[in-house]
Amino acid sequence: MKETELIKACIKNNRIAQNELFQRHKDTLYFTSLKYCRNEADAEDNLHDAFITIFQKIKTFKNKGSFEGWMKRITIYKAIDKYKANKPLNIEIKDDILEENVTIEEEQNLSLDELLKLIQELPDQYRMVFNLYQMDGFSHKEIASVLKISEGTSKSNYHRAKLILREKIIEINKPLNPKAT
Amino acid sequence: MGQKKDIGTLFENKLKSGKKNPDQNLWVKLNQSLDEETRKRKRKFLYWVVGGGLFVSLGLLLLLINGNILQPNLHTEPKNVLLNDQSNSVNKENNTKSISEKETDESLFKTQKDDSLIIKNSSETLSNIESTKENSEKNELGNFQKTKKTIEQKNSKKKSKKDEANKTSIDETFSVTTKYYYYNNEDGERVVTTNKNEIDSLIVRKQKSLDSITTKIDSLKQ
Repeated sequence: MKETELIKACIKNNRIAQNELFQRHKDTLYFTSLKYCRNEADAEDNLHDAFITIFQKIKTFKNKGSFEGWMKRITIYKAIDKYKANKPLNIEIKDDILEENVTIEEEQNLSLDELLKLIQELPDQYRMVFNLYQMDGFSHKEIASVLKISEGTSKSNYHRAKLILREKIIEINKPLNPKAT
Repeated sequence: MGQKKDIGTLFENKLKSGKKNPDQNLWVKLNQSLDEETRKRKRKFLYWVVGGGLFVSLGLLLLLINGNILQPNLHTEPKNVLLNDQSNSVNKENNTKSISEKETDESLFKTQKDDSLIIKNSSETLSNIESTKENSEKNELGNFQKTKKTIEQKNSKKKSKKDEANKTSIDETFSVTTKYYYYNNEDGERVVTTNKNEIDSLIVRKQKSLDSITTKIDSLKQ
């Protein structure tokens, strides 16, 4: 079944078509959820809620841009909503924006799961900012608006997230490469 | 030693097209949730239909009530007839003469109070009554005639009002009931009836008694 036909069938609440759509895109969207959530359970919950919204709002999809991109955006915003709901009181501390590049040797023997785990271990706000800016192409202005933080905080959070990631990667590689520091 | 690269770009490149299988039971959960959503939507629709129906019927009811409020004279205006008979009977004639002015004022006040409850255009009627009472001791007969005139004027006014109301009425199915009030401030006799003849007979009876009084007065004068 073509994607347009599948969408039309989903608009009519055809359960078989909905299942087909779920099977086609679940892996990609689950991976997106994993990047934004702390663990697999949270990611599954997020994916579940994202699919409910997708089926509810599918009639509003205007065929402008890719359908997968539209679904991915819903998944991301679901994760942001959950983060905001559980976010503790936000006390903004003026962080120094460090502009220096955070670099690391390109040849790293890290698996996909290990990289994913490193991102999941980041503090919530850092993880959100890092993913939105680095992985999904949001600007700092957009991030500031979505997460209700200042643009400076977004930049600072992104930089600190990268520092934490570098430290952790170095730590993982320490036994194999003691001179890495 | 390898080439140095921005850590953000490194993560982006490696995680760009990542895929992972979620739990196999996720579709089962999703299916149940979708069923629940459908049920909720149906229930919501039902609430809207019921709520909408109630709203429309309430609106219609309010329209009907407002329609009735705008035309209250069609069926609610009673026809008031007031009769102030100062000389009720021969026995009371003497009593009337001996009644002091203070007592007369008290009875006047009482009458006015009662009348205000009955008659819609109370101020006009009360002034008529007052003028009638002031002259009561001097000329009872004249007073009676004056009162009668007031009643007749009142009746004619009411009739014209009723006619106007009837002309402006939209729905002719309304039944108009006319009530006739009779009140004698001498003995406090009060009669409320829809039969005009009953009131007329009372007035005629009083008239006869008055006639007998006048003849007696005349004979006494002579």
